[in-house]
Amino acid sequence: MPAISFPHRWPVAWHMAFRESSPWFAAISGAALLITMLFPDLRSRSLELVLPLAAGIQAALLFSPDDEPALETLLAAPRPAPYLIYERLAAVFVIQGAVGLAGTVLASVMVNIAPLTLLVGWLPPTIAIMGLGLLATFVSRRSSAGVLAVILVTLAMLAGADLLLMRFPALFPLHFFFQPVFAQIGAEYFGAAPELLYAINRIVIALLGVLAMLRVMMGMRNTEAVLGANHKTD
Amino acid sequence: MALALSQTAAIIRYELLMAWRRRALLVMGGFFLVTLIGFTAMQPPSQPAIGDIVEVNASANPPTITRRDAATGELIVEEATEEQIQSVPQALRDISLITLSSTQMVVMLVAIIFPVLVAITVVVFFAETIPLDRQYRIRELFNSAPVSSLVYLGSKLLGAWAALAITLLFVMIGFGIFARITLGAFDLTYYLQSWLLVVLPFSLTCTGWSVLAASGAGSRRKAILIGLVLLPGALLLYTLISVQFWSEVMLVGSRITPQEPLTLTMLFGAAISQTAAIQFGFLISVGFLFLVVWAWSRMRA
Amino acid sequence: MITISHLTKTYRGGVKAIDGVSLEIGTGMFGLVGPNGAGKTTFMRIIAGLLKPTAGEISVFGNNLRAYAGKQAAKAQLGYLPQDLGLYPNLNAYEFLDYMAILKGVTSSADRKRQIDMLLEQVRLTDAAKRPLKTYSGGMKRRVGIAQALLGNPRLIIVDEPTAGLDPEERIRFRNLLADAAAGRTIILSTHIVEDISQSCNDLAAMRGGKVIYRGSPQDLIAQARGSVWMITTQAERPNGGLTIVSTLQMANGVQYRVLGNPDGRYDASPVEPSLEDGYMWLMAQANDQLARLAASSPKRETA
Repeated sequence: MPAISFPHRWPVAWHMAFRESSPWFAAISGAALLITMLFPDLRSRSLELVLPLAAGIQAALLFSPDDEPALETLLAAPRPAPYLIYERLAAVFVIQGAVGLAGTVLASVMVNIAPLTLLVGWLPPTIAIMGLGLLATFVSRRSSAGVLAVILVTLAMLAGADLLLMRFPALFPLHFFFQPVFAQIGAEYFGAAPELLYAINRIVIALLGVLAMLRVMMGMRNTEAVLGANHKTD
Repeated sequence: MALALSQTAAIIRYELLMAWRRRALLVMGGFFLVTLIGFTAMQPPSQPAIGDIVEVNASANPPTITRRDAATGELIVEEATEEQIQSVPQALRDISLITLSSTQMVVMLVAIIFPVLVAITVVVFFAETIPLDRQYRIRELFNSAPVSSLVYLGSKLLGAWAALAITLLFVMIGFGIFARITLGAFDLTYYLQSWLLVVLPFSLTCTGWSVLAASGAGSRRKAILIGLVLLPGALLLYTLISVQFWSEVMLVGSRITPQEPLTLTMLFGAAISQTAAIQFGFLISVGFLFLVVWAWSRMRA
Repeated sequence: MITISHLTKTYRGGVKAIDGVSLEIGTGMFGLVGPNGAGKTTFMRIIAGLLKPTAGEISVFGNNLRAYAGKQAAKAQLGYLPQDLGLYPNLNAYEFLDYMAILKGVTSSADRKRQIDMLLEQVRLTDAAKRPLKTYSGGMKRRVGIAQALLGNPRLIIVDEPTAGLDPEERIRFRNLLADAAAGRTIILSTHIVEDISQSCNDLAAMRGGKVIYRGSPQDLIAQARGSVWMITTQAERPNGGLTIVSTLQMANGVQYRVLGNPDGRYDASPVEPSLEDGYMWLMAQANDQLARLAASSPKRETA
């Protein structure tokens, strides 16, 4: 009987992952959450205003090949290079997830909205913007580009995506901060159930984030490109 | 003095060259241009007329009106009646309302919306200018050369800003051409003023804050975080500088209500005058610059 | 002339990197050797005006480095190659050297061009001069660093580990280049490759624990080790008994050891002529012994 081989499970360097993911960001996003919750008008949207931006910036600072001091050593290790991204992303998820869950409970008490509804409001855009920040930094090799992409896309989505939907309603799946009320308007336009439109939007933007993360992990396999060694002669 | 000048010129020249080779300018310029064009495309169609009148030439003898023919859309110039002249507010007489509308649009885009983009981009992007030298391990060479701290910091700042200014000038030309084609004729003076009196000085202040404040950062990551901390300050300065300009331009027309009193009242209360607010803004920025230089020199001592 | 008097440098946290060093360094090649952490790099950074001494005086060609004006005047006559050299990856070698030349005060463009062309030729980078520095190998980058240190005809050249990463041919070429440049100049060369010092310096200092433990000529250092260097060939275990093994060579008839010390009758030891490396090892062994004696003779705290 042929032996069944399982993929080798590599250990995860949690301690380093947490250190590299700037854990003090949790304090910033926690404080920002509390501040936004002080304003009654923002209270119901405080989670989706704060968490995607904070987690996105954190993700943009996670891995920039040019700023990684021990890059060559890390890539030469037998453990597959994408693990570096897995563990750091997981650390950000844990950090921001903890803040988000605590915020969700608090907000649900304050604004009387079901925790699940709040969770669906902030989690998909957080995944999407994290993916965007990670990818922008990875491709440009500069954290500043990732941070900029996160800030500008978040602001553009918050300020302009509603206007854009009025002109191009079919773009609704790409609106990071799509609101259930827009789904109801869209339901009349498309002749579909608002829950369906909202679900499509949430799934699409979360998928965009996951795809961006996967793209980075795939990119990590090309160690030559990660090292930036395309021009090296020695 | 001659050595300091040649060192300054060299640092600026090579900063520009390196910025160009990193393709950062190209990407940034392209991004600025695309965003401006995108915003223009998103604006609702303008209504450049009061009724069918697009211009009242009250100072001509005899006074004339230009009106748009409802059926054909053609512009017709004819002698104005007193009633027609009175129907147009004093401030809008002798002005082409089509041009005024396009001018308002480009000024709004360039002097009101665009500086927000500049503020965000510049404070984050240029924060790493000096930490980058540390990361390239080139600081030790600079420090071993007879280059004073003032020349080094000042030239790095000017080099970064020169790169940005050149990019902005190309965006100015590119967007100007696009706006002329899509929006029609606009007042070139106001357009140039928007760039030269609002966007460029504002970009210099943001670059200065960012480059100097982050000069002591040990890594690019820390520098970016310092840039993020500066962002609210840059946006506050934007509110003061940009709004002032907006109100001045827009006072010509009655259609767009100047928002300056509203914003300034929100920030400082009704008592503060527009001029005082601007002076206050400049004081903040200049004072902050000195503060940063002082802190830096203390750190180096 | 560089005059250093009672120089001390204590870093934050109380680490004393330089401890009361007094030296005079004249023209010619001056070698600086010592183990890792001896304070060589700190010492050279202070002479280069990069670090401020905690105490003591230092004068470079009559310029007091504790004063800003003196420091700037000294820097105008300095060529410096740091241990951890960085270059701008997007510039080519010619542009980088041009940039550094301007910063060093070579304002005439014709003069710059002449100097850069000559130095590129000397470090054999003329053909690669227009390629971006990011495409350079480690050794080529090192050569660019050497060229920039020689720019501007400096009176004082400080080079920290200049030959690290160079192949043997380049190392010898660079050594000769420095030796040629030493006429009428002061060159301070810090290296772990003792061979480089023995081939190019007629004056050297050895540092350990922030102090200068030897100052003199390489020949004198070699002479001090004379009678303490032995060759032992054995098939038995490694020689011990207070001997310091300098090198080990596997031979057909056993293992040949080059040792420092006084081997006893157990070994068939034959004396050999010491090299500078032996002298250096002998010096460090003496310093170790002295430290051990000091530790043994220091009064122990009484315990209740």
